[in-house]
Amino acid sequence: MSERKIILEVRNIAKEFPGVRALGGVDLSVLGGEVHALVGENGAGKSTLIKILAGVYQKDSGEILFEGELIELHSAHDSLRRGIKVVFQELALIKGLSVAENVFLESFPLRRNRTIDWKTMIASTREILDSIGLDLDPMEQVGRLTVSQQQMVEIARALSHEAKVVIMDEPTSALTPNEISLLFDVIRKLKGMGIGILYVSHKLEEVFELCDRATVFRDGLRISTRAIAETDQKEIVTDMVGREITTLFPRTHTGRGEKVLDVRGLSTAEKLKGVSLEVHSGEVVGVFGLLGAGRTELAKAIFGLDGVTSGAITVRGARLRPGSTTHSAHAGLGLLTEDRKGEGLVLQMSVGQNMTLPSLREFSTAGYIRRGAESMRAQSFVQQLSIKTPSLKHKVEYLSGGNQQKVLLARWLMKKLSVIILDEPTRGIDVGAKVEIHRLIDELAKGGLAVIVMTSEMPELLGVSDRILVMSNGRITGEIGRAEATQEKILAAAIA
Amino acid sequence: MAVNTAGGGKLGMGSRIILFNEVILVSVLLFICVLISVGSPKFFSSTNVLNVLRDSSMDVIAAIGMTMLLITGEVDLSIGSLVAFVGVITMDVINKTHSVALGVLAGLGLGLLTGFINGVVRTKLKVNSLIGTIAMMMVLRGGVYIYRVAAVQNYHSLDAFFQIGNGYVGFLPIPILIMAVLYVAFLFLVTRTVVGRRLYASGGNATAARISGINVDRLKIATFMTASLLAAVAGVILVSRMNSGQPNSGQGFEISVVAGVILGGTGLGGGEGTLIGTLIGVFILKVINNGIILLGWNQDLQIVIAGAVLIVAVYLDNKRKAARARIITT
Amino acid sequence: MKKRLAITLTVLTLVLFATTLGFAQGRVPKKVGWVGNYMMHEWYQTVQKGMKARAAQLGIQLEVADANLDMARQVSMAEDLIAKGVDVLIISPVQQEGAEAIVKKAQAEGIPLVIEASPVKGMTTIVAICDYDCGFKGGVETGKYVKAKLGGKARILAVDLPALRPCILRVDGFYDGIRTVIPDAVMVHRIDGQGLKDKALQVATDALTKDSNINVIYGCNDDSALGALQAYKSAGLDTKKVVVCGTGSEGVAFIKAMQEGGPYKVEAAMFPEAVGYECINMAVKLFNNEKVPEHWVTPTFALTSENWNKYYSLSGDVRTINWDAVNKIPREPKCAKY
Repeated sequence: MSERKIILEVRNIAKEFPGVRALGGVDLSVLGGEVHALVGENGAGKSTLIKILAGVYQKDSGEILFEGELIELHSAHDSLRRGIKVVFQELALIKGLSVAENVFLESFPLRRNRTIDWKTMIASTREILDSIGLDLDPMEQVGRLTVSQQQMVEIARALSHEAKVVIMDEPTSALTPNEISLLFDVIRKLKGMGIGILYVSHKLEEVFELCDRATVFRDGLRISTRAIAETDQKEIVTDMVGREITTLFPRTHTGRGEKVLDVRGLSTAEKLKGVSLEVHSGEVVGVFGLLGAGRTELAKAIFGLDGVTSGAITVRGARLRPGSTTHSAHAGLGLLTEDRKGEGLVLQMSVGQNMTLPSLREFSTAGYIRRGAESMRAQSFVQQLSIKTPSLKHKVEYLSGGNQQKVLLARWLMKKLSVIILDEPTRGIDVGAKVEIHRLIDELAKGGLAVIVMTSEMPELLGVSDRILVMSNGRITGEIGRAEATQEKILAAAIA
Repeated sequence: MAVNTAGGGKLGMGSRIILFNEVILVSVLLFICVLISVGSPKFFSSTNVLNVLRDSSMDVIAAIGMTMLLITGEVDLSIGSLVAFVGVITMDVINKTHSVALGVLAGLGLGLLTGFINGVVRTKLKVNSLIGTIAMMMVLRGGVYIYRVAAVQNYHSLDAFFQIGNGYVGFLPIPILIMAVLYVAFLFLVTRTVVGRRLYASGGNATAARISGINVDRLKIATFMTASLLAAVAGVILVSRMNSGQPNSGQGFEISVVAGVILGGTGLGGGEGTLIGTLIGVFILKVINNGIILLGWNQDLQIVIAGAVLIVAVYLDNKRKAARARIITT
Repeated sequence: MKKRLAITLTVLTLVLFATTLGFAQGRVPKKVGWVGNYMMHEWYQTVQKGMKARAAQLGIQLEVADANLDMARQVSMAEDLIAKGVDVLIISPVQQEGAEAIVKKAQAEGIPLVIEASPVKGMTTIVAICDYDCGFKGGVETGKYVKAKLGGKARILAVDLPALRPCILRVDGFYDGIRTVIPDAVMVHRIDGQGLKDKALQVATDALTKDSNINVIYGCNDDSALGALQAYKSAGLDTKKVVVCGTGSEGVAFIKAMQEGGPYKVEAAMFPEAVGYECINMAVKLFNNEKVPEHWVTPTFALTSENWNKYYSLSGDVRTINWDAVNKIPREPKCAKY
């Protein structure tokens, strides 16, 4: 490979927020034509660095060098003008405008009379899209595009500004496998153009597939920078977590007991079409499906958050009243929603209060909450699950994603449940916390619960499930046992 | 075990300051009181203190219910009209039955009914409570005039009726006593009981509350009924103090109550707010009004200053929340 | 031939003469319309009673509409009534500027228009009391009482409604009136009760804390006076040492207060029934193209606990006006102050 030049370099960047040291003096360099991965647990400092490079945050100290020259990035405009383009997870596009307008936002080609030169703009847009092999209509409204296509528009925007460095923040979380391939192709084309790419991701399989080097951050510091060819996932994970992780998917539970949950012909007005399934005590049923297959709808319908048009749900023989969450909760159902902040946590309440919310009766006499008993119980779970929080009284919104998820799990562990439905339990959570959650799922099953895990991560699905159900278009299209399960079989059922 | 937080930093100290919202409010209240007493020595006289407390009692009682409603993310703007209707009905029933007990029960009953309807409109008809209670406000105000266009005078001058608003227990005016009892009871309810916890959960995240087995709809209906019942209590105190049921009374009551609650730190979004803050917030506004008269200032300043105080308070509160939000790193 | 002509002519002349005589007797309009501005208020309910009574007496069909404080609605209601064929229109303007549209419309259609209460530019005539004189009379009567029974020194708490000019005039009038009897009368407090009893109670309480040495309470309407009286009682002050004067005579509240034998002794009455009565009279006059003064003043009088029953009788909750007595009350040709 020819000698690559350093395009972007940061030295000793530090950044502090009130009470938190986000970055403690980190170095990083991105070469032209390389894909450089940036990995680390939640809270490691990755997004802080990205935001500094995007001009959104101001560094407290340190230097930024672009093509060897010392620069200051005072605003997002500065950053883009310099040639650094950041593609955030929440895409920064104007949905009401067309592709061409978004690509040339802030730098429209103008005619002599200062009006927009549409012809040139459309032609240039088409040129850029062609260069990365995309077939999009420059006049299409961005709001109508899929997430994948919108991402491409962001990349095209980078090219229109002749970006030399493109930073991508968790780009694949909302993409289908096909779309991920497409993205990788485009990234490789950018590589070919000599553009340096900084690729921030949790997904180590992708990192190992796509990237040339990987830098690991932990607790605001740079731990290592390795060439991908010279390392393996285990080493990277150890760098990220600071300790060796032996098994990603611990399993100690065995055998299944009696049938606990029985769902017959469940349909909802919009999505579900006659779903039937059963779960036994002590078993973990994994549910897989692509975006829009209906997994979350199924979880909510079983629990009673959404209304059903037909079907029966029975828990330990007792018929559940559809659409009544109180009834479900009393029958021993628990639900960990996909959207923890929007639907799971009460952000204004403390860690302890969130944990005990369904179990208040246990700690109260005639309505009066016995705070001592409540704290003791909550504290025991904090220890059991290694939840990182300064105290039980801490507002739960300040915790990292992984710890928030643990709080929610503690909530259900505290109750005597019969069935628990976990919807994307490890989404957005770093490797270290992931392992602990998988261990907990194992504990839950061992304790006799019927566990349903909905997930879109194949490794996780294959790792935790005793039995796999595949959904597509609101129906169950496949049931595969652990022993026979392969990625191909699962995907085949998922697109059926 | 060693505790850590996101980013490995210490998140403890900064947030402590923020919790001192109530301390700031009390300081402001004391500051205003001292200012006024410098200009008017009568301010701290026992007469004035009791007067202000007695006048505040109606606002505080209604504000208890309003705080609880706002914690669940709802609001009730019909309490002003309700106070008028309660006054008219209570006086009318007392006139017709010679019984203070029946009259009071009728008034409180109207409160419960109104609250129930407000609750059902919100939970079953899914009408936003701002709009729904404004509609109720119009229905009640129009309704009271249809019921009785002129004020209902007191025909029997029963002593029990007089005592409610004007009587004393020792040196303590009865309205203040009623306010104190209700306040302490509800303070306990909101901070120490399961119901209180559920209020915060329902307002903070209704879905999370539902998943935890809380019947959010039933809780909200009960809260609406409590708020209207408490407003009705204020209405009964008022009719006793005015000695007649006035259909044109209570105008602007809902605004001053909501202003006091918001000044006390309860947000409009739900899931937060304290009764302690409410108490201080209501007092601050009442003291300002009292001070303006005692100092002989232009009476129109009462609303102007109240408005200014409210805007400043909300602005500072927003800044506080924004500062808090920046600490979060994901 | 000549004889027959002479007889025909005489008969014709006689017939003509007779008919003109009939006309000159004063026709009465068949239909009169009234667009009120706030019928929910007790005052206007009583005005309506007076209007209906007089219309019934004269055999006039009266149609009443309520604009409910909406100026646009008042204009369209007036237009509707004109279209329906009223002979005379009466309006109580929601807003003085907005009502000019109605004045123009009535003129264009040739319909006589009577304005009640608030003057409008371009109007023919307005039927209203003199607020200043009303307050003045109350002040004089109160002053007499203070001189006779309360030691001759007057210290006043007046509850005003500064947003409304008529109310300001009433309080000014009261103060001027009382000073004709007690020249060194002091206005200790002049507060804004917004015309409401609960607000008056609230503000008067604070005012009395500031200075409780008062012996005269005046309210620009009955609710204001009664609210301030409640505050006075609440403050534990001696009700035998104060006299209360209200304004308006809207309903039975003031009568009840006077009957109680307490400090409420004077009422600057505005006789709303008479206002309605005079509106109809004015309608008839305009219908007959009579020349009328621009301001037709309706009676105001200081009622006292001794003389009120000459003008009103009370049965249960209903009061009836004594037309004879009220119609005899002398009216000012125009107000002392506008």
